[in-house]
Amino acid sequence: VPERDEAPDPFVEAIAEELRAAVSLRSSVGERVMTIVRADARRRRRWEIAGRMLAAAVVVIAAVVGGIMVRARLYAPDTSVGTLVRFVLPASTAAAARQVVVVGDFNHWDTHATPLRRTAKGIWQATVRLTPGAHVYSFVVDGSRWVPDPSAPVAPGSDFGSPNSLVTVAPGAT
Amino acid sequence: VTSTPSPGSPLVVASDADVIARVVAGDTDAFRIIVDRYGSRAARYATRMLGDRAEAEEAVQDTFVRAYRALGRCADRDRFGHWLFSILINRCRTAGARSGRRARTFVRDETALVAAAAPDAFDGVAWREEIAHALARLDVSQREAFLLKHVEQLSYDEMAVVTGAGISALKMRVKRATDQLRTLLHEAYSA
Repeated sequence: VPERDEAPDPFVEAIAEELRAAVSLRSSVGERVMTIVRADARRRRRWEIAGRMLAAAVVVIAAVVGGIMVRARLYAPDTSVGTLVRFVLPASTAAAARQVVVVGDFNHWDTHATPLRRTAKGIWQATVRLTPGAHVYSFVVDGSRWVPDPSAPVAPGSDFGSPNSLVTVAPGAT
Repeated sequence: VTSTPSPGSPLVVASDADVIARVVAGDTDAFRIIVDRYGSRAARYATRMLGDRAEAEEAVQDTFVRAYRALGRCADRDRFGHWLFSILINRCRTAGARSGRRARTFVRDETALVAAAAPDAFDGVAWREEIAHALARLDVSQREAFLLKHVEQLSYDEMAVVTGAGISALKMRVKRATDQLRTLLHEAYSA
């Protein structure tokens, strides 16, 4: 089909007509193509299956590892677990005190760790989270005077020196 | 290079895009439709281009396999024919370069020899062989342009798409090919 700006050329048409004669593709060529194509498709499908299996394995491994990590977290010691215990020193016991702290096994008897705060009514108090079990403690007034908690039992082994007090936190308490 | 069914055809022919979609979706056997649809045309171009039937069939087979493997990269499936032809053209260029130094005689097409029962069979076969001889003597790019233009009947725009060459360069190649064929076939044509 000549372009619009071209006149048909009889010579060219004579040649082209011969060359346009059909050349049939032997069926064996088509069969060979389809054999290769099908083999390709099978190979591709195998890779896809392998890929899906690999992805599934990754998911399973991730789930197992995740489960282990979750379990590890569940059974790990949690420092946030414990019972809030309020230590109170009545105003009558430390009326003229300038500073009161509570020391005990829970803060390694550190006189700076847990200062008490004085309320408007003159009561000294502080709240500490304690793990279950028995804890021995004492108040220290103005940095030098050890005062047992008048509302708590005396701790065993307090026969000599300044007596300490005892607080017991029940297991499972929050 | 299209797959449009002939007007008035009672059959609904699946478009190339539909067939390709089936193949890509996993219906591998649907690719047979593509092979049947374009096989003869690809074989004709490759045979005329390479001048050797066996070599042409190898090029066509390779073209279809390459097309199948790259189907996902066929951006415009409605113009699949052009895309396939560009693969075939490249494949023929490679084959031509590989066997360029090989002495070529002429295309001995079996169907052409069978057709020799016609009264003017001798003249027809001789003319065909003269054309094959002359075509084989053309520069590869000129032969390619001539075949695409006058045998595959592509427009220059379509030729530019499938060859990657510019339109003016293609026009020049077609003209030079025509001029050279005219010189080479002058005697045979006059007779």
